[in-house]
Amino acid sequence: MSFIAAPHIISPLGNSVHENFERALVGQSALRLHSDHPFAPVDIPFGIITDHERSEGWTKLESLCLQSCQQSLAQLKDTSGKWLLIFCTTKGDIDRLASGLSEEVKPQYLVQKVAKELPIDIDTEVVSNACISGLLGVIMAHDYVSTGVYDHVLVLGGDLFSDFTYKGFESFMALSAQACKPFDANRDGLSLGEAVVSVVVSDKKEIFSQVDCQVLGGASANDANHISGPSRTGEGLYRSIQKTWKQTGLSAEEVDAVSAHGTATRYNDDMESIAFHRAGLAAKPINSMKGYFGHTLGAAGLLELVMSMESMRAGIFLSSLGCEAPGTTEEINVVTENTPMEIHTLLKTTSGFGGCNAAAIIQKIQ
Amino acid sequence: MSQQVCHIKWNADGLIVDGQQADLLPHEGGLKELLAAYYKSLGLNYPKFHKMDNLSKLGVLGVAMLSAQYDLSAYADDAIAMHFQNASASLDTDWVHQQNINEGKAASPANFVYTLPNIVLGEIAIRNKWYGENLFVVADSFDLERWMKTNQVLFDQNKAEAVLGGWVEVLEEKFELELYFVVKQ
Repeated sequence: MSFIAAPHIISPLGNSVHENFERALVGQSALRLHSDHPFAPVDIPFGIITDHERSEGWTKLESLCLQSCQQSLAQLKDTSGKWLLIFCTTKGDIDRLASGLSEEVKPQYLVQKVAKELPIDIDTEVVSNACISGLLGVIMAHDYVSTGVYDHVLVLGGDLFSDFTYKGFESFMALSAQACKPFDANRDGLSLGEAVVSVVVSDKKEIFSQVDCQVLGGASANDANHISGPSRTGEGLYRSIQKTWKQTGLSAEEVDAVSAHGTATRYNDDMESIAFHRAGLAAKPINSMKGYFGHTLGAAGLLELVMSMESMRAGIFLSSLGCEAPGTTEEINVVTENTPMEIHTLLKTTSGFGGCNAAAIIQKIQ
Repeated sequence: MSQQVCHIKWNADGLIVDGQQADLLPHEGGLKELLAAYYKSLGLNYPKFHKMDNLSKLGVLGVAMLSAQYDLSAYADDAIAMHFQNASASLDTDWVHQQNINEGKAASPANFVYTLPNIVLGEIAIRNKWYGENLFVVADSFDLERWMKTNQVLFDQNKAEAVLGGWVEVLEEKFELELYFVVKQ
């Protein structure tokens, strides 16, 4: 068991968890048209952070990562102990590649640069496991502190909208022309967004000035099926959920709500519906937050976990913005209106290219 | 506790399998042709291999050599965790995608799908039908002790009976594979 708190979110919706949650509550979306962006097409909505401070000699992603880490650490009463900083990202500062191969394009360069500026001694690690990276970072953090390898882990997730990823997803024909519609019967693709998120995982409750949630555990699993196509049986996601029951000693009955991946591509959302159905979760309130932020890739799992923590605190399960009429292979209980409810135990899931899947459970502290 | 039961080291200097050193197979051309020579000599019949990028090919071939050396079939299909690391993530393939962009050419979806380092884990999982834990870490160099420490965490948390992985690095024709199979004791 570990505690998870001191969160921070930088997204187009705001520069704190509070701002992001309040704007999501009133149905605001980060996804909009950008007429003055250097490479984003003007007729497709994206979630791009346009209002941000950048330090001299620092890229946008480096600056936002440092700011988020500083905001998380500032929420702690005590920073003594052995620390690890896990940077969860799919592509890091990949747009630097336009001018050629360099050390600076590597994510370990970014995280080491950020770590040097923090007021604590901290080891660094980069988890780059496609779109499960952010949640996998939290699971690893939980496992590291539970086994005493580290006292505290600062988990940082960050990916930006880049020409590199935009052109790739465009070639995949995976992008929707409108703001994405997760789990909707008429969904037709994902929307790209960007976010930088951080949180602290520790087995020492006393370091936090405010702590509401604990991580009970999680697991990852591969589909062993296809590197880019979701499994038709939802095998890897189903197995990652089964392994999460084993890790936590819980079962489907004890879960109050599910924060799904829900990218709004036809095949991904169908795959998730099949896995949730198999796992006995079809009747549980399920949401996707991609309609608020777009797909923030390596940051997504962490972003949605932190937003879920705020949901649990507020007692409101967020609507799956963009979903008007749910329609997936298996019928699942997609929440399409903000729903006041007591969320004591929440399951978070993610899936990504390479056939990877991850699931984890967080619970409110009594 | 855990025990390393198999080790493969493979780079431009040669191939060492459990201490047995061999020269690289003769080949004409670069890394792609070298990997093709090993595919042939291992007698693999796996057409998907030819679609992979060099990073995935290197990983898949390494695991094929390892499983010829050590019987992995006794393990349940989700008992083996894959934990790989490297320094350059998928930059070798990223660079191909980036050059298409720089030159104003259309991006290739077949190439773009390999622009994530964990795809090699996916390819190994597909070929071997493994549903276990996945972890890809990017680091400056291979720190065996630290890699083992993370494996021990997976064992202590009852997430795996064995860990397959290590270092799998490809960038601009330079390659380095350090593959280990580690068993929980």
